[in-house]
Amino acid sequence: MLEVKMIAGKPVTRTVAAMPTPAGHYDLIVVGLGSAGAEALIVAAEAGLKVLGVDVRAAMGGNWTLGAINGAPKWPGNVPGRLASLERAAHKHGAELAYETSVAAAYRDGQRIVGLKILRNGIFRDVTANMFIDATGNATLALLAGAKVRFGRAVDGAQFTVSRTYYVEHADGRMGPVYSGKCRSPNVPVAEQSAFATELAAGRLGFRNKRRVLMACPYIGAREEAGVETDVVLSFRECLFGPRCEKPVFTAWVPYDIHRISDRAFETEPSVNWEILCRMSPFAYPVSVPYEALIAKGVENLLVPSRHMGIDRDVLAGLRMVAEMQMSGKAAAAAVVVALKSGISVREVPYGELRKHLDRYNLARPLRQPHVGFYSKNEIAPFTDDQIIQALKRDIGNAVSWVFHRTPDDEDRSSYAYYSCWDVAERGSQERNSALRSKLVQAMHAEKRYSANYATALGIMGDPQAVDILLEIVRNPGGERDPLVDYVYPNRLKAICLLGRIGSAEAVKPLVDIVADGGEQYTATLLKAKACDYSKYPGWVYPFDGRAAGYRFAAVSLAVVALDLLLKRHPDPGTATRIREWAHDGKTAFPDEAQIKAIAQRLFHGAEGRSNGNGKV
Amino acid sequence: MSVMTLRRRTFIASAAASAASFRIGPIWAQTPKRSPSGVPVVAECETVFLGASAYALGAALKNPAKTVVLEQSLMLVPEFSGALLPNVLTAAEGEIATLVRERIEKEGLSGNGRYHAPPVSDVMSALVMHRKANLFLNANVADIRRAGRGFVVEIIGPDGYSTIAAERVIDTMPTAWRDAGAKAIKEKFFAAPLVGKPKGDLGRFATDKREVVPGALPGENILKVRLAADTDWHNARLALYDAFEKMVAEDDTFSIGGEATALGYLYREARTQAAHLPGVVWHPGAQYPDLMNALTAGELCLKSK
Repeated sequence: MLEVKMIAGKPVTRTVAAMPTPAGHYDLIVVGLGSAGAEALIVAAEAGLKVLGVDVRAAMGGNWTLGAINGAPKWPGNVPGRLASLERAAHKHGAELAYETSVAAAYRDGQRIVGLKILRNGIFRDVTANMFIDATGNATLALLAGAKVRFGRAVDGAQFTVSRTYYVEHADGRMGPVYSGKCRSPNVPVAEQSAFATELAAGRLGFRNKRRVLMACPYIGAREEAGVETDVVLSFRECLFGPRCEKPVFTAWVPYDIHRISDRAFETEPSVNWEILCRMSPFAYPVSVPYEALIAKGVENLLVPSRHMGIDRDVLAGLRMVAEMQMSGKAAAAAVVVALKSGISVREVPYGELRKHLDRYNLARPLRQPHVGFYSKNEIAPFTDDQIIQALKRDIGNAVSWVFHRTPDDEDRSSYAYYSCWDVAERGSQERNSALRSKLVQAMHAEKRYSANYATALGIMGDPQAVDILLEIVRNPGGERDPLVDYVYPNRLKAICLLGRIGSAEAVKPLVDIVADGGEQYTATLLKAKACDYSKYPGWVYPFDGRAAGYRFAAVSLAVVALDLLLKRHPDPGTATRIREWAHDGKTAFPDEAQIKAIAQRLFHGAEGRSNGNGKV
Repeated sequence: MSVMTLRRRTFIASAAASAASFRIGPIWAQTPKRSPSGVPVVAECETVFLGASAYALGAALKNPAKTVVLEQSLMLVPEFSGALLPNVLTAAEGEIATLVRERIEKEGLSGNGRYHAPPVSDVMSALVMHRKANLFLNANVADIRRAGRGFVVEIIGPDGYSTIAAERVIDTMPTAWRDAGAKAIKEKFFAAPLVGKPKGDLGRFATDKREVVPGALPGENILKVRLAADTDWHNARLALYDAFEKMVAEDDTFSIGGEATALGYLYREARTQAAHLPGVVWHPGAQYPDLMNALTAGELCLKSK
């Protein structure tokens, strides 16, 4: 038998003859009682299982309670009301709770977890169980069980923003959260985590704005930490274009909500398409989560709902919401109930039997096709070619404001037109592809004012016929091909991205110029654009709102990624050396440029003057 | 967080000899030294405080180069900011107490002879950053061992096990490490802020088990529920909800708006005593009746060594 402890962020094993005599045995131990874990605990207890819940904090519910996500006017819907509902449900069904308790070690026998050593205030207890659920958010148990875990973004390990919240009473009596948020690196030593938490806490003082604080939330709200490798991993591309899972454990409409707007160049290609090129923020897409995405690969008796689920980072950007996390916890517990009551392993759970339990909680609702407005809930159908051409024949200017305006007409047709082009390129017939491209080329040449829109659409489809117009835009930003309009990612930023994908060697020089100049000239005139009046939305901090650094970050990061891709197709040792030197020069032209340079150092480290980027950005 | 160098001390060498073989260096080692078992030694200091109480932070903010504070939660001065009560703002005597009081007033958190408790944790966070005090949050103390003339404190944090070497350990946690001080507790309480505009004086709801205490801000009222000394978190909440629902059954013009994030404690007598291990002192931070006095006492505690 192995005893496994976490030391300096890594599991360390030693062989032991046997586990110490346990203080208790359970059907299921749930570690981490956040949104997912609390629901798992209660569902399992309600079904009659003997359950132990373990959490380092002194409450259940995670972001829903201690994180104070969202507000409600009055008990019982507000934060204490939510806490009460969880505590009372746990009490009613006999679940045992171990608050302020850490997992000190796990005991493994082959591919099974046998038990845990838990710690509260210096007192250790050994406990055993038949099944385990890891809903910790940082994969504490999955790591101890030997599962593989992904931390953060592929290119640099960066995570979504985390926040520390005040739950406040507003002047009008409403209750709700205000945040201090920031990105952090994953799995860093305790001293760095403490410094980070302290900085966030001090930072939220500035958001109080004379409001009465009902709770200084004793919690860091994390949107992402650790993705556990599961039997099946669902990708963003599969959600959008692949066959939908016919036997889901739960389904949801989710937005793409990653929070850091200016540095999206470093995300995956589908993410860049969705967020930068199509700007689909106001839309939600359907996700059907397969059961296998809850089963930790290589471990016999560990389920991993919550942010550990088998979904890629892009899907997690939307599915991370409290309601979906709660559904994942219920689904995992339902599977444990079926497995234990049938005397089978978690991998043998028949879907028919599981579905009966899922339907009790209405988890696997059928989803309609294919998108809805995130705020308005209006359904939208794929565009025809003519609808696409018509939708792009306009100044695209109100993109940002849809995020805030919740009227039925919010969904911008240009976004969906771009998305429809992407959809045709991904799964349209050859005839449809050819016909649409012909129409876009024709419109691009006929409509000078809107030519950038049509070139962008062609670029999204990967068509090199767009290159000449895109080159004109980057060589002459603000020129006749790039009339200045309000937009969070205007055409001149999209052009950088697309030239990286489909551009010729001619694109290298203007892109290098953008990098060398720190994007200053390229983005200068964008500051005149103002997409919406943010003073109407107090509390929102928008990186591009009149902030040069936000646009410059976007331009330079997009150019670095584009050059990485371009130089793979058109090797140019001199240019690669120049980018390498720039990345190592230690200078910063605008805040956070060092982050771009750190990534550029990794992308352009090849000795032969070629980029060695991972190609995922 | 700060990076600083400490003088070599005999106790550290002794501790090192038994726990690990390491070089004295920055308190937050950039590359952590490791004991033979592989557990990194992440800090060395003169005094390690268990619990980020006002007493501990008073000492740590006054003597940042000599101290490390270990806190199991993410809250600072939880016995005041998290428990919500007592919230009386008295005169400040010491340097740190004066700084805290000034910041409380600057942030608009004072009034009615009291302070608005929840954000005080973050007032302390700002001072911790400013003073470069050494603080480990989410640090669950797993073991305390004598090592030569000092101690090795083993913690489990977000990245697993690590250790701190110190000349002495002052435990300021409410029930002491391993609950060694549990019998000294007379009773506990749990509090919650109320919101809304009640029809009359909320004092009418006072019983021997509950009372409503005014806060610093206009209209701020805090429900306080008294609990037996052995009440745990789960049962404290259930008691709070029951008390609240009995009140709103009579008058639903107000609501419970939040919850304390720490339990409150009343002790049988003021105490500083030997704790679970010879040489470790238990001085519960929650025994102080007000924040300023606790900070000032902490400021003086290392001087009086």
